[in-house]
Amino acid sequence: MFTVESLLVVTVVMPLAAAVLTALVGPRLLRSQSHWPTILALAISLTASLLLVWQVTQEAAATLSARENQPVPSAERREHPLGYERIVTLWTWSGGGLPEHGAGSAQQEEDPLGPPPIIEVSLRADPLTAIMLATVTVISLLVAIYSVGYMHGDPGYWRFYSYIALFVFSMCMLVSVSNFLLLYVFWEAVGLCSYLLIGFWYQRPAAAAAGKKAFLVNRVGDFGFALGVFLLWMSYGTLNFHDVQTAGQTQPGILGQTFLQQPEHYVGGAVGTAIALLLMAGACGKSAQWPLHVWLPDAMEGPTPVSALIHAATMVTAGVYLTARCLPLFLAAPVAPLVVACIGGGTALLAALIALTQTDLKRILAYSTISQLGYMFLAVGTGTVLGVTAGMFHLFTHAFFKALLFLAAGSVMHAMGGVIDLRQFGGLRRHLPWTHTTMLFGCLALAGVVPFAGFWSKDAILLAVGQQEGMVYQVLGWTATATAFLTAFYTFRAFFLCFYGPERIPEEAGDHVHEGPAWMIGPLVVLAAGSLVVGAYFEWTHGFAHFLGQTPSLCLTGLAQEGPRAEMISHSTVAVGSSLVALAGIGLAGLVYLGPRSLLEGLTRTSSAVGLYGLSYGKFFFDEIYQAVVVQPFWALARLCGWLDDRAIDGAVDGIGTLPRGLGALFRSLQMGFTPFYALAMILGVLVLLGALMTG
Amino acid sequence: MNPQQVVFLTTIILGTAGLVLLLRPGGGTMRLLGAGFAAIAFGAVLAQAPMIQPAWEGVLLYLLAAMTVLAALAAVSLVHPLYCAVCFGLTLVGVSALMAYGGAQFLAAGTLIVYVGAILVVLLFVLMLAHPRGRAAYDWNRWEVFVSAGTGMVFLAMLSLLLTRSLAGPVQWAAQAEAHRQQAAGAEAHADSLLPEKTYLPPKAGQGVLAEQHVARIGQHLFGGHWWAVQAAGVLLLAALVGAAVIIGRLRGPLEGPQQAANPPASAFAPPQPDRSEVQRNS
Amino acid sequence: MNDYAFLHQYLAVGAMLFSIGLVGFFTRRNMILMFLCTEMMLQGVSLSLVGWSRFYDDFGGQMLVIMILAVAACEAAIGLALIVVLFRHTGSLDIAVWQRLREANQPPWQDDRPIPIPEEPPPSWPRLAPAGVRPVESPETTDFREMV
Repeated sequence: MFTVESLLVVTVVMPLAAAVLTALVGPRLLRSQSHWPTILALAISLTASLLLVWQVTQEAAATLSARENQPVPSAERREHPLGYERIVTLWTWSGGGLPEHGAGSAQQEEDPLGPPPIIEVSLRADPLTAIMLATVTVISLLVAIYSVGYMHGDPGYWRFYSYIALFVFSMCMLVSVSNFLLLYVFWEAVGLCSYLLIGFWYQRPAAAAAGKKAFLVNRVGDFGFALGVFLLWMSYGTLNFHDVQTAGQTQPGILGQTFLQQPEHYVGGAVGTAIALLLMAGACGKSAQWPLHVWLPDAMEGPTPVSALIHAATMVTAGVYLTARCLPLFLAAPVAPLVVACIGGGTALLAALIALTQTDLKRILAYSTISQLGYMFLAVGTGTVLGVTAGMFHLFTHAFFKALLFLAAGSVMHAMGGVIDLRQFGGLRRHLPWTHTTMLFGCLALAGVVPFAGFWSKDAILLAVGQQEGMVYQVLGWTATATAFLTAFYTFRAFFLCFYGPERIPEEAGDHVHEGPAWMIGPLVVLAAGSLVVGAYFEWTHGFAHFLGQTPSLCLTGLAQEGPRAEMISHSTVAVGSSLVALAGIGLAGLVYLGPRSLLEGLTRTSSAVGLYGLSYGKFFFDEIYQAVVVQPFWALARLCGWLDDRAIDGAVDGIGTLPRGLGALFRSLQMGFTPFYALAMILGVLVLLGALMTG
Repeated sequence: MNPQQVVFLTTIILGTAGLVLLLRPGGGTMRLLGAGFAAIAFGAVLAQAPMIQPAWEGVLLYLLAAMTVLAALAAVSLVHPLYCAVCFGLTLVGVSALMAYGGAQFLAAGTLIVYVGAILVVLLFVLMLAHPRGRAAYDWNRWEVFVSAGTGMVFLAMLSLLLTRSLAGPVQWAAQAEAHRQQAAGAEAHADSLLPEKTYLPPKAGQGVLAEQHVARIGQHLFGGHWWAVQAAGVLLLAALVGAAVIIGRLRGPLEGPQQAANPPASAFAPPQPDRSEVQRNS
Repeated sequence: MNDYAFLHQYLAVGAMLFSIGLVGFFTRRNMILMFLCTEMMLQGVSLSLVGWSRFYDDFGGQMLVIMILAVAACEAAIGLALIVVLFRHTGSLDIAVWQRLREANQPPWQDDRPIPIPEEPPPSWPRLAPAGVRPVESPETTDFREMV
């Protein structure tokens, strides 16, 4: 019963059922109980996905041992697939299954476009998908439970849960489809859910504007992604990930065994680079990397659980997933991995610098998310198994502690009556003990302090980057280390400002500042526990890397396991170094924000004098630059077009419209309402026709 | 100027002058003059056609045509509507005589019965019902006599020119073929070969409209190939019956005389705004 | 030859009837007479159709004339009913009364011409003789009185 196929389908379908059910009966029947379908469905999904991980682990191990026990000559390598993957074909969308028109093969006409493309709606189960599904369902279940307390009493309660379930469905499909076309479909679907949830409180202009901004910025990236898919189609003639067997022939998929075993057949050169960079553009849009990072901070206008689920833990990692999944395509292009690493490292540093001075708690976390996503891209950009595994590991752990941080921030916001500005409150640790403790766990994990999850994954990334040769990777490694320091600093800046120092409570919070209900505290505790243990557990058991290494894309023939400088960089060196850096950041934050006030003022004054403070506080003025460079020209163009439409086109149309009116005015006086005159006019017309007939 | 152009101009000028004189309110002399002009014009049109052989048939046809056209002129131009109707009846008689002569005996009878027997009588009923006094301003003063008569006569002249032009050639060729046929009996094929290809030849065998048992065969046609058309005409007649009943049925209440003078003053030609109570009483 | 002559004659007479009906339709303002003029035009067309029918020796033309007869009967029924209704609205058969469909600023066509109805001579009544004297009566007069 618990086969891989059935578990996969159950995992994916349950959220869809919940979304449809909630949308149908939510507004009338369920009302304030609208969370039950979603929570139950997500619980089932979570169970199924955990079972799926277990099942995949077993089968992958069996496959691996079978291959190792029976070493085969390379000529017969095809018999033994690389990695582990199971394809579940639900139905065939196009091609393949079409009935043959001709009765005999003699009548088959040669289609000039080649054989019809086979597009199957097929899901895949492999370690990467299993990990992503488990992450998504865990976080989404916890967020859904948390939202029961957080969203209580909202007029759009059922709508919220319907959207959440729809999002989880889209995300699960996104990570489990085995086709670029369907990947694009669900790529857009999660974007749609993101738009709907950012603009959930659409009555607020800021929320509506943020939703629009997210949608439009994502469009830029998605356009690149679409172009990349077109190029893939042009280059490979298929969009499937896996090989498809039709009529005894194998149609090789882009990420299928055929190509993986002969990676030299991947399209390289300019086209390959273009494909990789266009896919990277899509990933940048979805994962909020420079230069398309501007939408994510604004997306914090949505409800905080949405920020935790979509804009921190799951959806924004879709770009990392895509890059990891398409690693062979990136490796086929010479410079693509380097570009990915540079964008990731640069974004990590940039976002960390911006986060230093922000005063909105959720925005700090948003920039922190961008920064951490940059880390993941940096890791994937190394192009080694170690790097990709580290990136996915960081994705996994980051999902826990960033969801935790957002939910804790939501808890603070809940207690403060919706105020999230760090300047307006402080010293809350006595009022919010649970939130304080759990958020401390999250902050330690984010800062990368020893036993917590972030430490292990960030370490792995630093290690993977450090193993790479070349000047650029060296610089990126130092950048990452500096970012780790900044991360620790800004994380604990926010933490100290929020929970320590003199007690300040804004008016909106009212008299009785209190913790949220158990619905909210429970997920916080679970996530805090997760932040504490998941990193250490997987690091010590080495389960994560082994498991993920069975993904077909990461079994690419000739793919480096580790960087070239593996011998020179030891794990412990990096660990000690990053720990010291993190502790230094925390210590500096404590010194500045808990120590004498003059130090903070002096620091602020100094940095303001050289302009750094304003630069950071103004988010490096990316919004203003885009406004001036992109938005304003488009506005001008739109106004020009509007003017043209209003004056030239409408004028022409109106002119054409007035022509018959003018002509009609000439003959209007003939309308005298006198019947014989009409008859006379008719006969005069007949006369003209008759005369033309006779003379012509 | 060839004869065609002469007839064309004659028809237009004399016909217009005659019709104007006829239609304008005026004395008897002027009307007679007009009738003469018009007769010349119409005669010129008719004279374009070749004479029908034998001659007595041609003359008979001319007489019938003259009677029909003159009666039509009278029906259009006389002042008193009753006289007009009577003259229209005379026109109908002439038309049905022409029809009978042209191989349409059934239609001739039908025209007489339907038009003279039904339509014209209904016409007279309505005339007497609606117009008992017989003399109204609108019977005397006509609308734009000159323009109307000119238009009508130009129309006639063009039709006539069209006829003459299109039939002149075939008539000539037919005459030549006839001459050949008389010269060499039995050389019909050769005679017909003189005709240009585009000439529309009438069928030779007399199995058509002029053959015996005319009415029986018209019945065959009517209820054979044109059965659906006959049914449609029947439905149309029924619909007209119902429609007329509905229209007249709106006139409830006692039949009254006209609410206004049947002979309104000349200055009251603007459309009257009907009094609301009056309308309600009427409907 | 005769066929062509016949066709020409009939078409000419038909054209004349049509033209006369046309002119009548233009000039006459009495609605009943306008109606009559349309019937006259229909007669012209019917006559031409009969001519063609004879020329081609085919019944098609006559079938069409029969249809025209049916349509004319319908037309008479509806048209005369309408005319009666219109007459009862205004008490006049003048087509110039009904000019409401003209353009907004267009003045209606008006007839300002005097009505040239000739003056009827005053009626002559029998003249009574002065009382007391028995008039000398002619036998003509006595006969008249007996008739009265």
